[in-house]
Amino acid sequence: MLVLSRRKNQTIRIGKDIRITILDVRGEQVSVGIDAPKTIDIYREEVFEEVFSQNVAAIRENIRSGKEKKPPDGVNFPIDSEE
Amino acid sequence: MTIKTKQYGTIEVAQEQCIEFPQGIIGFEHFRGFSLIDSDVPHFYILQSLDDVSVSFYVLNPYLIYPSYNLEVHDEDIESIKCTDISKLLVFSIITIPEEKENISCNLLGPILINKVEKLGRQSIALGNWSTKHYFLKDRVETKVSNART
Repeated sequence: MLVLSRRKNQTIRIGKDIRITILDVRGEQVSVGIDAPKTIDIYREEVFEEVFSQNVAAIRENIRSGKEKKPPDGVNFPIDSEE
Repeated sequence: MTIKTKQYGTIEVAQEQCIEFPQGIIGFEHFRGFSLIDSDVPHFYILQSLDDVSVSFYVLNPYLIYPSYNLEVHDEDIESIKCTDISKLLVFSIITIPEEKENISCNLLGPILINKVEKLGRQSIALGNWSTKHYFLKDRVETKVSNART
């Protein structure tokens, strides 16, 4: 891991599009400002991990329980029925 | 068109049922194409990957079970699926169905947003204090019990 020391209001640039600025430091809490293209998704790590692991769990449980199912009578487009 | 599904084998779906997830689903970013199909469980739909048959999710309209789910997401998430009109937006929660069926849970932290006109979708992160595991059958039983007590 690359380790850089920064002070308040100093910035790190990653590539040409991403800038990370230390906005405030109070005790153990650090406020970080991130400028990045909208196509890049930014998550808190623990939130990403939680949603990811739940997605994996949902798929795994489907695989285990999804074997002997019968398809519904006719497959409809749910988007229209939601109107 | 014909697609392969985890639950039902090969089935025929309409082109309109196919939804592009430009950013994929969290942790599955390389799977972009999905089809939204009916399931054998009333009110439940299946979001089936078109790239990998083993990747499929049961999804449900969360407002059916949590009417008070006041979902807030970042504007960028809505913009990324080109949604300018909220009436064009569908919200689903991914359901986890374990062997012990009473432990069925719904993910209110990572809702699936679909622009039903543009056929674009994404998984978003809900702002606020939501969990990936809301045990809605248990919650319902507990609500009934607490109602009975009052």
